[in-house]
Amino acid sequence: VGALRRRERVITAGRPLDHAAMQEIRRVMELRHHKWDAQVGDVATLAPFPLLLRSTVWNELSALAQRLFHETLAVERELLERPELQARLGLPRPLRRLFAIGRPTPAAARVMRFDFHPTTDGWRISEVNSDVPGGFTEATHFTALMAEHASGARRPGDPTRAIVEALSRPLGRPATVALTNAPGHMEDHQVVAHLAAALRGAGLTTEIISLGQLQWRDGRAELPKGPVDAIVRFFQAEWLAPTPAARLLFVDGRTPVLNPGVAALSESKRLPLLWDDLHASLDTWRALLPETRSLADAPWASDDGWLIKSAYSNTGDTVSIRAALPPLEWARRSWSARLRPSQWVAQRRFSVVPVDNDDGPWHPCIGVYVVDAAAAGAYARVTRKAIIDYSARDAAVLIFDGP
Amino acid sequence: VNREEIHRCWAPADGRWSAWVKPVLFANLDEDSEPRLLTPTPEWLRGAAIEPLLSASRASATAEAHPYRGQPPLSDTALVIDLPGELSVRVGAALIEWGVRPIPLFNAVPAFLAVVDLRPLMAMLVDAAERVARAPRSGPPAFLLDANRESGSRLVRPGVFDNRSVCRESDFPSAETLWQAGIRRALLIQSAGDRPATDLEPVLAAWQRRGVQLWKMSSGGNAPSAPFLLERRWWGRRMIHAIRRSFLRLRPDDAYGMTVPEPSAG
Repeated sequence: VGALRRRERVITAGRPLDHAAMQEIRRVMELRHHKWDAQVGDVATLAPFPLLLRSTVWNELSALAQRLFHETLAVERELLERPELQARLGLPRPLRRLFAIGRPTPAAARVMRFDFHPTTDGWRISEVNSDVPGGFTEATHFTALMAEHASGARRPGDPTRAIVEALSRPLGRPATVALTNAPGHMEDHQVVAHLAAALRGAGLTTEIISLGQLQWRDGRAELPKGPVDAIVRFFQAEWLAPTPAARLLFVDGRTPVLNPGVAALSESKRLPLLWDDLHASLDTWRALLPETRSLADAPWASDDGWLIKSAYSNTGDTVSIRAALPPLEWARRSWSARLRPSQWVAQRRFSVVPVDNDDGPWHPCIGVYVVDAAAAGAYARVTRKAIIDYSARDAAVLIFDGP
Repeated sequence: VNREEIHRCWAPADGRWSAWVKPVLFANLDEDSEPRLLTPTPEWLRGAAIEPLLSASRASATAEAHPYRGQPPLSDTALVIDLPGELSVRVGAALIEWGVRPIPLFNAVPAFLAVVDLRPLMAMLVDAAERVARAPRSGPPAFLLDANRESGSRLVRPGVFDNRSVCRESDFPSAETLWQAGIRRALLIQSAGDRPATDLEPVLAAWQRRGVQLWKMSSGGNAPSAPFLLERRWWGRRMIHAIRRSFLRLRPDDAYGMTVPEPSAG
């Protein structure tokens, strides 16, 4: 899978934008699209150059992501039928209880993002963002702004538009979509507001709500204004799980939800620990994911060839590499992992093939979105170091077949 | 004036320090705002804060300095304005008289029912925009902080938007970047207290380690600005601050602010 030889140029860096053009893009991102971390110390986190993929490479990544999408759905279906495996995922107990007592609420649509790395051993993925994938701002707006400056290049898709189409297609008119996000998370609220505007553009009525506003009648969601035909849940499943108001979002509801609550099953970074116990075909996952073990079975504390991460870490903030962390921070995280080993996992690190630019090599990670089985866009993170961390930059991914 | 124009005044595309201007409050301004008349420069700023620095500069100036190639005043000085709310912005705007470029570092999200009320500060960003637009693009920076950032004026209780925040080293240019820009002195202006705020100390300590001479003054007292040596705080105090900081509500977008959740009924 993904034949990628060392030094093979599957990704190239496009020409950097001049300072003034980049500043204007940054200003638009900061003021209109909620990009508030565009500067970290001396590092500007929006890369002034796009990453260019040949269409053949994009087709390969799309195909891999789509296969991963199907395999992930199959795993979720099987895990629902086998509750004895769910505890090993680190799935919060309230969610396990919910899945044990009811039938899953149907999906309005399904969105996942797979993070691909070009390595010396071919393409590798580090994880799937299955429950509440982020990065829409970068994949939609930043990519569009950068594409305006890249003659002959095209965007690999628009995940926002794909979501709107997937949501609105099965609904008749008139129809109402309710959107909800975790209170206080302004960036999530912006995503929700952005999706709501796009849905209204498609002729749907939208309501941005807190969960407490929903009334349920025979498993169907309602608002005082009338029935709700679909719900967008931009709210992490493990945060929602203890909330009584959320029960019908996960099980026994009849109003479809994006993403459905079962996404929490595949969101766990401990999923690979269950592979050998599953009947579902996982050929693409097995080919692309680095070796993953429980903490007890990996020399993560002494071998820098391993990293650790928690089962549920939506922003990747618990991905921990000893060599990349200050000693005190590494001690804190490894202590957390030792205290609750059933909530963590160890994964073998890989060696990323850098992209050469005029100012030196960059290590890329390309997040590919899949919406209802179809690849729907991408954006990248690039870093000078061998790991993607806080100092990584967001880079637009564009398709370019020119010379 | 629309918010993009206001932001452009504070963070011009060709400004040397524009990259560090925090966008959170600008992004939350109304689409169009009406600036009010800017209040006068605080009287203590000239006499107590700036004049001692200028005197020190004059005293150390070499006789060989070319009379027509002199640097603008304070060109080797970064300022940190750690004053409450809108006063920080007002002082920052006043500093353009000495060729200084104010850089807002406010990193909390505003809300109606918030622990830290940022609305007066946001209004002052609007009021001062036109004046700040006249500041030299490459002038020495004055980093603006809200001294109320860690405390606020409202109790932290369920339903309230907790937007208390701290400043971090990564909010500022590195000590090396400042040094390369010719910064050799840093003046901290704070409202009270003998020591810098706990979250600010690592920033100033890094500058001091690089060779930047630290100065300070209190806007509440009559003492003029003067150099000082920042000594490491007692470890217990640093530990307490680290624990307090871990309870602040940092969000994935790097800003501070979340609604305090209702306690679980279970």
